[in-house]
Amino acid sequence: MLIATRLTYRINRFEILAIGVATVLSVVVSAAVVAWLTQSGYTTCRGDEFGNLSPRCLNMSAIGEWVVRIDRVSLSLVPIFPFVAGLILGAPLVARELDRGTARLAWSLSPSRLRWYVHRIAPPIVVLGATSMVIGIVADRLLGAQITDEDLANSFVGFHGRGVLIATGALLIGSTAIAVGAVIGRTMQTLLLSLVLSGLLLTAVSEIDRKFIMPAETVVDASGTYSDRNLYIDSRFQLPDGSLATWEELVAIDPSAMENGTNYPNVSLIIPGEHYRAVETRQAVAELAIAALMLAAGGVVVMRRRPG
Amino acid sequence: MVAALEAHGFGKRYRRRTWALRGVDLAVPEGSITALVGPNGSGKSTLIRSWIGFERPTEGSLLTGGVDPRRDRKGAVARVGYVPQSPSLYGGLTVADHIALAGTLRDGFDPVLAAGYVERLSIPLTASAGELSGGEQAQVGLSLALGTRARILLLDEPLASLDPLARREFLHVLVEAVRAEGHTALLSSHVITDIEQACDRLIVLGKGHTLLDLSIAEALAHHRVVDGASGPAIPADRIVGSFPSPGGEPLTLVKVRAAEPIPPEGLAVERPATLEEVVIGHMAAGRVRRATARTEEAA
Repeated sequence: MLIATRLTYRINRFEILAIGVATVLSVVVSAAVVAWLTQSGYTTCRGDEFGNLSPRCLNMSAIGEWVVRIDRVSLSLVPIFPFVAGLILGAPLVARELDRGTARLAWSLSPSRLRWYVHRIAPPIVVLGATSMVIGIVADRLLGAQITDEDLANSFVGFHGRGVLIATGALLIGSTAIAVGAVIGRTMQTLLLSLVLSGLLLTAVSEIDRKFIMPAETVVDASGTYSDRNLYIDSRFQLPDGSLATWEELVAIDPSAMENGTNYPNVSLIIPGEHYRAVETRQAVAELAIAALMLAAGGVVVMRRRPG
Repeated sequence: MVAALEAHGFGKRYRRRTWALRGVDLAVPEGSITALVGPNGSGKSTLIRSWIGFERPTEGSLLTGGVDPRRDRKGAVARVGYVPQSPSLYGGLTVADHIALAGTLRDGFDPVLAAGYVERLSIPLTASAGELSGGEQAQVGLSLALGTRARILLLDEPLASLDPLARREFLHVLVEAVRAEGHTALLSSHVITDIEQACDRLIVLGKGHTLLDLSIAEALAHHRVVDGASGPAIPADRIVGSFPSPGGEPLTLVKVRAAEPIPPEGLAVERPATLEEVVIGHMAAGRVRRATARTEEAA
């Protein structure tokens, strides 16, 4: 397996190096940003009642603005990473082999196509999972350095943009690209179709969770304030008997609301931040399951298809 | 005769329309080096790819070393060393890497043997596959196939991209390896002169059909060439096909029965046929038959 891993690395050197270098750069830059923000105390700088900063904060503001800007830009790039890494690593694995005819040589040498498939996909999948997990942790740290007064383990701030969901998202996208590549056998078409398909799958995971599982965890927030800490699901009108109604239901009950407006209190349906880990874990497991299904589907196609 | 490769009523149709091959009955004897010849699109590659399990027969059956590749593709691949038309090596890997790769994919692969063939063909093991010429890549492909120590070698037009010297070296290595180990080789090619030296059996495929299946010696002994187009002087049942010589003069390939020479009367010259003329004559006959069939279908 060691030789097979080395050869797979050499066959996909460009893609693996690109993702590896991007990850290392990200870690280095992020570590510097987090270290500066943490040690300088810049994020705790607040203006006084007139908006004036203390001399200590004023001294830091020039560099601080840049560091915060780097932090924000880095965080905004994190959700793109699973797509870029997943597609760059996943799409060529099988598709390019079929495209260039190297699969014909390999499959004529290997009585077991499954062995070939495992040799070819296992190392890049491990690289993809590891690098995207590192990026997920980096995003957690960057966010933590920026928002110091929030316990991120119990908050939906940056949901889908940090932590383990970056890794599982990347694995889902990479696996989808592998499966699509096994069917299509053309690299460019695989990239495009996988981008669309994996986007749809990730949205589906989120939406299915929101529609079928989250309602059981939803609570009514009548405080009238919005907090990033909680996951906002929807809003309702609260009727005098305490029941909740959508706007359409309310108009059906009280048609005057349409013309006169309503005095019924508007409440939010939210998932409290304390549920963050549970929701994150559930979606991560769902994404991993889809990724595993995609890898299995790719394997079945490889076993059955012509080598191009 | 024990057959290493067999086809029984084999047919392959693509996309529910075009038959690449139909009704093919063949047996490649064990220990032979058989040439598979035919015009472009005659189904040579389809037949070879079907024996290794890369294509599924639409009708009929195949046996590869006694194994049906449709039912047991693993078994068929394990019995075969395959050299594809275009070897398609991994551009980023060296020749040595390819040998190592083959070792990871196939149990019993002999890396020392493969490396020995590569070095014999003067190809550096450290050379990147991307830097090799088409001929060198084909030779690496052959070395990998020989390294499998498979009893059957399937070579799908490996000579096409080779210069004459490389072709000669390729065939020399192939023949020597096959003879030494008692293997069976099926070599599809257009280069008839090289086939004559390397092969002991000839199969000519027309568009989807077997036109000829004989040993090279029988093919040469059973045919003659007559100068001039086929005419009334030659009995119709002896005419195989007419075709132009390189100079443009019409020639006719005729069959010879044992102890019954063709009556020379009325014929310009009768002489032994070369293997190339045997092949071309049968291809010409196949083309005429096809045109006739098309006309009849249209009618």
